[in-house]
Amino acid sequence: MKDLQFAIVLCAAGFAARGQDLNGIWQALNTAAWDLQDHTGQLGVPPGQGVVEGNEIPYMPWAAAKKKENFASRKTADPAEANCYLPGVPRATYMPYPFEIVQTPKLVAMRYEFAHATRNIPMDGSPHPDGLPGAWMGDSRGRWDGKTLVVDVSNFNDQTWFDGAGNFHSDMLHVVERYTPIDSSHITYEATIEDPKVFTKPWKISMPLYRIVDPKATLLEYECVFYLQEEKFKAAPFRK
Amino acid sequence: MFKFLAALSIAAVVSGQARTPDGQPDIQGMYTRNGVVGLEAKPPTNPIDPSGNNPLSVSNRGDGLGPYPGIFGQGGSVLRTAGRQQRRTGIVDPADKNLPWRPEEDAKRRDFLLHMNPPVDLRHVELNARCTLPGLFQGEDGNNPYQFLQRAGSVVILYDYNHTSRIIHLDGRPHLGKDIRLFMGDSIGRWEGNTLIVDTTNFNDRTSYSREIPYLSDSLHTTERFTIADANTIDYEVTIDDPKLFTAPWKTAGYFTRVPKGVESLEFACAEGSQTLLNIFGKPPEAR
Amino acid sequence: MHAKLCIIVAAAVLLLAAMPAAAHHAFAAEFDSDKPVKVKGSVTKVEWVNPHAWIYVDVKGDDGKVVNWHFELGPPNALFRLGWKKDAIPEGTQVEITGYRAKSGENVGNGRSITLPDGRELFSGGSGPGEGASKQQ
Repeated sequence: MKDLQFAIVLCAAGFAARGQDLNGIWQALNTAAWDLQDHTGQLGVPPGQGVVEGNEIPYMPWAAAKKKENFASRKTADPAEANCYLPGVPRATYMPYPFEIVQTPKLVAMRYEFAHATRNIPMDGSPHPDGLPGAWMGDSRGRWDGKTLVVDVSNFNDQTWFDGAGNFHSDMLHVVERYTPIDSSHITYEATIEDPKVFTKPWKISMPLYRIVDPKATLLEYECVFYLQEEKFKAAPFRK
Repeated sequence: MFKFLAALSIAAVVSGQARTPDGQPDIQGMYTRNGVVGLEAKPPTNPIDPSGNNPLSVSNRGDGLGPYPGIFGQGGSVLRTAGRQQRRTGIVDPADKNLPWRPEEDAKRRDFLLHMNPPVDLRHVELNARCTLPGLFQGEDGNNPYQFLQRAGSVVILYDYNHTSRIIHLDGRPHLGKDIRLFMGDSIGRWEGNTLIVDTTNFNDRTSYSREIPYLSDSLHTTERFTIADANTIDYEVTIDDPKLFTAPWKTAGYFTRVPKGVESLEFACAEGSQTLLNIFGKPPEAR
Repeated sequence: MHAKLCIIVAAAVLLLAAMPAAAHHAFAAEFDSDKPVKVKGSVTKVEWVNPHAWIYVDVKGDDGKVVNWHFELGPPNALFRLGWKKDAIPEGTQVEITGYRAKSGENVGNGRSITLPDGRELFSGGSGPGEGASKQQ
């Protein structure tokens, strides 16, 4: 009887580890990186159906004005596209570059090809730490809800945008992501976004993620910072 | 089925080596890295070397102060489980540390160093100062741990430093085509007993080994050996084969030790907070 | 604060012989060791960023005008593991900072020592080894 119980435990443990395997390389196939909402095409910007539920982002009035300012100055002000800074969450998920989920029982890590960004997602029930400065990619803590990977992200700084259209947040940003496998090659990705300094209520984005099925595929390097430095400092030094 | 699983776990206990579900020796965990980079036998004086060896160093001003308050160099103490072990570190082959430079490349390297302070152009800025991916050798080991993860088919190493990560493919795939060049190279590995052997190619020409060897070439080909020495230690040795610069391969060594429980990874955003190129060169002109 | 100071200094003494080799970057390419600076003022902000934290200080010149300087510190992540929190140095803290000016000539320097009005080091470690005490292998 003891043998049977032990066998069941061993078997269950194995199943839990294998039950939802999100390991692999994934990519979004949409235009959310340019603009989260419905938008017409422009030179250099593909047209897109938005990923925001209800297509409205519930800005406070001051924030709606700030978003317009951001949009107008996006060619120089976009922290990711113009300055090569870390893209933040959830933008890292839908930048037009692949990312890799590295899943182990106690830790899920994400590796992003854009700017070699990474995220560590402890799965051990630990709390967000206290007193750290805000992070570009936030602090992530994960758990399983059935087959769904749920990630709670907070402790952000206020420096990133959600897209190239100037949608932004404060350091009170709180994101809850849900990665739900539909089949072995598709995940439904949802992110609920709340920020009491900027939005009147939480809002949500949702999109499919597609597995890169080529077995030879591997993340390469998009070293945006290096390329930008080579351009900006080509003629250095600048002081007399 | 149960008897088989029991036998496997007994075998694991007897051998002392824990294994991952897919049978790899389990190397997972968070470690500090020690050693790895060392001085060659006749190193050039490096104009930007801040160590006590260099008369130009700001640390030799006689006031007992370094470039920054001392606590910034001491904080890494919380990453260390015990006093530093005595293991092989630095250049270990050739034993006399006389690196087999091609004479003209050694001369070029020594001349390059002389133009690094002040850097005459962007190319002569130390790579560490640019927040680039660190290649295999750099990584600010004093303060920044390394995390090893394993899944079927790969080992992934996550560095705190500059949020770097490497994947080592274990599925026997070929290397990438020669026109893809990477700071971290392309790594293909295999286990031999308790040693992970990693073959890396496809480097770009921006790997820095040390302050005295500020660049290796794009003909760099490395073979790393990560050997599980005991439950808390990985011995590490790298064969550096760079035929454009050296007439023969040479080896450098170090080791990894587990960090205390409770140490977590911290974000190390680099370019976002860096003012280094501005402080060196001044502001680039706005107009293009 | 004082107890923490003792523990950290003691730990530093233990580790002195075994310190890792020089860290991040070309200090000497960025700062001019022939241009020492010393300023007194009040902290306006601390940016706990990598690769180097920054401390910003409002400094009143002889002409009465207030100029903001900023000084480069070391990489902060290890401090957080030691228990430092992001609000450890409040705005308005009076400090005296010595260092060397940036080669760009701006009101920027490296922060070699930062002392409070009572003479205590703001960052404990006293005349700690900084980067100079370690020997490369």
